[in-house]
Amino acid sequence: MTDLDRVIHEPARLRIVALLVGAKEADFLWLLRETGLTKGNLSSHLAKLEEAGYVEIEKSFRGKIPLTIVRLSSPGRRAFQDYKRAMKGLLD
Amino acid sequence: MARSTLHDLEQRPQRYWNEDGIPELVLGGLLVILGLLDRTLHISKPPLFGGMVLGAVIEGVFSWTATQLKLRLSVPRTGYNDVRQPLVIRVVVGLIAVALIFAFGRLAPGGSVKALVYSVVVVPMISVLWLGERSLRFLVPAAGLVALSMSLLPKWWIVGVGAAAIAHGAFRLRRYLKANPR
Repeated sequence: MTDLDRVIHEPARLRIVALLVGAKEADFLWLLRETGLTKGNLSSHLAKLEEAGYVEIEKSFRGKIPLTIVRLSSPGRRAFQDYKRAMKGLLD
Repeated sequence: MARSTLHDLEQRPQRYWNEDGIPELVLGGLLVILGLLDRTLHISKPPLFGGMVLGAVIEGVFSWTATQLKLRLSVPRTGYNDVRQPLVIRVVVGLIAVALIFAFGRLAPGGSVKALVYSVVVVPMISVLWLGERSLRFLVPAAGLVALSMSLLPKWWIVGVGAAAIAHGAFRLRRYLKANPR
């Protein structure tokens, strides 16, 4: 278990990263709906992923409505692939 | 978390693109317009290259219209994501589409006119049904629908396929709007 990336291994963050793998970018509302997390929880997990350099977050406005766009970074994508390989190695 | 669930999550952005029925609705509308133009203007033998260019233009119109509708209807309700489509998949699908266009163009008695029609049908169909859903099983009912329309409506089959796509898209959009009120 020592090889597993602790940032991604957490179930909620794994869910977020897995959802972002198939997307160029996604907004906060979409992630909120797809993960089933609360706003606060999602924000905190995104902050942790951003701190690790796994996601890029861009905040702006669409009209008067705040818009948060999230992208998986290249290190994030690599970390997810490495995580999957490590898990497979553990299970096989 | 099971591996299948993880895989499902990775595929989720692609499935989300088709969830609201808008792509089918737009594709159906384009097919109906094209079918009606074909029947009323009696387009005669444009060069194959012209057909392929028209196919690309129609795909551009399709993408733009579907995106605009999504920005107004789906994004405010269930959020936004932009699907990531790796270059290799785009190239493979493009090559398959071109191969199909040439194959149908050679087989069809009308030559390049049929190639034009098929290019317009096949390219968006592959884009919507395969790239969108990333699932080959959607190509089976689509091919069945095309075959059925060709046998039942030999002169109007494109309009028939378009009308069926509109009906199915409208049904999915209605269900989506009902499930996701603003």
